[in-house]
Amino acid sequence: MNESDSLAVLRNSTLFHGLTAEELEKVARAAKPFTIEPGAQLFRQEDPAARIYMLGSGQVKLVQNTPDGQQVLLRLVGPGEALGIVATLEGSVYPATAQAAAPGSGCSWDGKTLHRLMEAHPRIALNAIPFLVSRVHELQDRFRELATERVERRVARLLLRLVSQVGRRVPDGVQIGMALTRQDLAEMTGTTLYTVSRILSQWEELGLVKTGRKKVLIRAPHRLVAIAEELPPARS
Amino acid sequence: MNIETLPSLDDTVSTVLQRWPFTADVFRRIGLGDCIGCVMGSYESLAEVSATYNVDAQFVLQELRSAVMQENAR
Repeated sequence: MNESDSLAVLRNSTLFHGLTAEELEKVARAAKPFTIEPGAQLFRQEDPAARIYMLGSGQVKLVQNTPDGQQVLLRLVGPGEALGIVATLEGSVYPATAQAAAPGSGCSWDGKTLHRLMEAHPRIALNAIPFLVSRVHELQDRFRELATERVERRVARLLLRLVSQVGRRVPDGVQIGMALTRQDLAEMTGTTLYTVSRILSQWEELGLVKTGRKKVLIRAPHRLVAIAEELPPARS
Repeated sequence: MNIETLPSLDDTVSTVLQRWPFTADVFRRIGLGDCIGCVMGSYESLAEVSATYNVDAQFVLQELRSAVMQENAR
């Protein structure tokens, strides 16, 4: 990644949306480019939050380890999205580990530099607000799901969330366009591998989904939505 | 009337609702109200949702087209 690659990353991000070409160049000059291989980490949970990262390509998992040793997949981050922004601005530690799920690249800034850029260009700080608000909403939704909803419904909702992010129409249904293991699904819904496997096998028998090596195909979109939203069955 | 300016059975639900937002009323009236705002609407065609909901596809098409033609005539 060179400076013009960095510029392309910035132009497509929400954080730097609305900046002039000149301002973007200034931000790009202050950035440090990176590339990352699958499995490698951008930062680890509990490390001092020194830099914010912006992904230009690839996919990164944000994974949190609980005190009792369970891993929880918090979020998937894709191109144009930033990682570590809250912790870095706050000057605390990273709340989760960022691990690459695919080969990726992007650029990063240290906390002081980002702070300085935000002061010079308030647009950046304003752009960060909707991002933070949507994060809060996401957490509220997940909290409600975890506190009140049946596991089956949680898995269905997760699949729909993934469809809205990375869904792809294929001849026999809607494919989730990323590598996804049953373990990933278990971590993202806060349940066990056993439970997820049981639910998916059941759905597979009913013809709702088809799972292959790290792949999930939704064969009966309506029925999955019906489970997620607790809709009455389609009238017949 | 140019046929391309009317909904077709191959159009996805989202395409139709984005292009002719007023058809939301039609979807509701003919029993496809759940399709409005559904994330799968970007992937499922009118033909597919008609089959799922056991509504005659030609009826769905006709209702949507007449709503669009009425709106265009206003």
